[in-house]
Amino acid sequence: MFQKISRTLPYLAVIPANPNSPLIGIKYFDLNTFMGQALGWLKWPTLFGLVFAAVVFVVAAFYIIRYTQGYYGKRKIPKSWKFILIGVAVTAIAETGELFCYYEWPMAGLIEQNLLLVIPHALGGALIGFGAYFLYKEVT
Amino acid sequence: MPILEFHISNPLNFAPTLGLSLYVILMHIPIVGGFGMAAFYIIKYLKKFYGERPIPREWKVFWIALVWATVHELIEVPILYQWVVGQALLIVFFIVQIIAGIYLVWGTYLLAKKYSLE
Repeated sequence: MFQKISRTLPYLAVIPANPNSPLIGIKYFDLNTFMGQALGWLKWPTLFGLVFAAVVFVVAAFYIIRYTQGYYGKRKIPKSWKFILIGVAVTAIAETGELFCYYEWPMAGLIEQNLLLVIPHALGGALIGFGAYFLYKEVT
Repeated sequence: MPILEFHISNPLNFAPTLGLSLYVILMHIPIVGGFGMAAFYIIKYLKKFYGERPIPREWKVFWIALVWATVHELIEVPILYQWVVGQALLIVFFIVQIIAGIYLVWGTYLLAKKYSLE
């Protein structure tokens, strides 16, 4: 199957996922490709954008901690901000996982795909969404 | 990599099994929907909390960050399924990532600065 994919790769823009993904795909990590496509001059801007996306969520989590500490002081931090904070922190993990999967494609590892990307991304998004909902419910 | 190409690929054939393909599709609901829900409820919260008073800049920036983050997550869907492939998409993705990131750090920094850092 993989040989068949390899033969057709030069003729197709769409690079399909490999049905036999390895457990960890780090040995397929290649900064010159994105979703299996050669990046060319976009190599460094793409890397910068992906690393930047992961770093900003870490920095945002830090500032949210400082904000909640300053705003609530000795009072109990509400569930809403706890959800938003954990959601932002977990999304930082997901953005890192995204970076690995984009560069490992089509041989992205199952650990990177699930434990670093899909599950943290879904969890982070849900936590931020529900955190904002609880924040709204606090004033209604 | 092409400049810009559009493809039709079935998301139900994305993974080796239908179950796994459905798992990936369904996981996009909390990912894109979560950020969209956050942007929706934050603006509702601000309108309710501040009422007639002007919304402070730190909150406005934080809300804009969530809107851009939603766009960022939305673009990842055609990237993953390769419905859109090419340099133009990557440039747009890069710009959206940078704008969303700057607003996110700026908004949370202003919130922290107002109540904690000063």
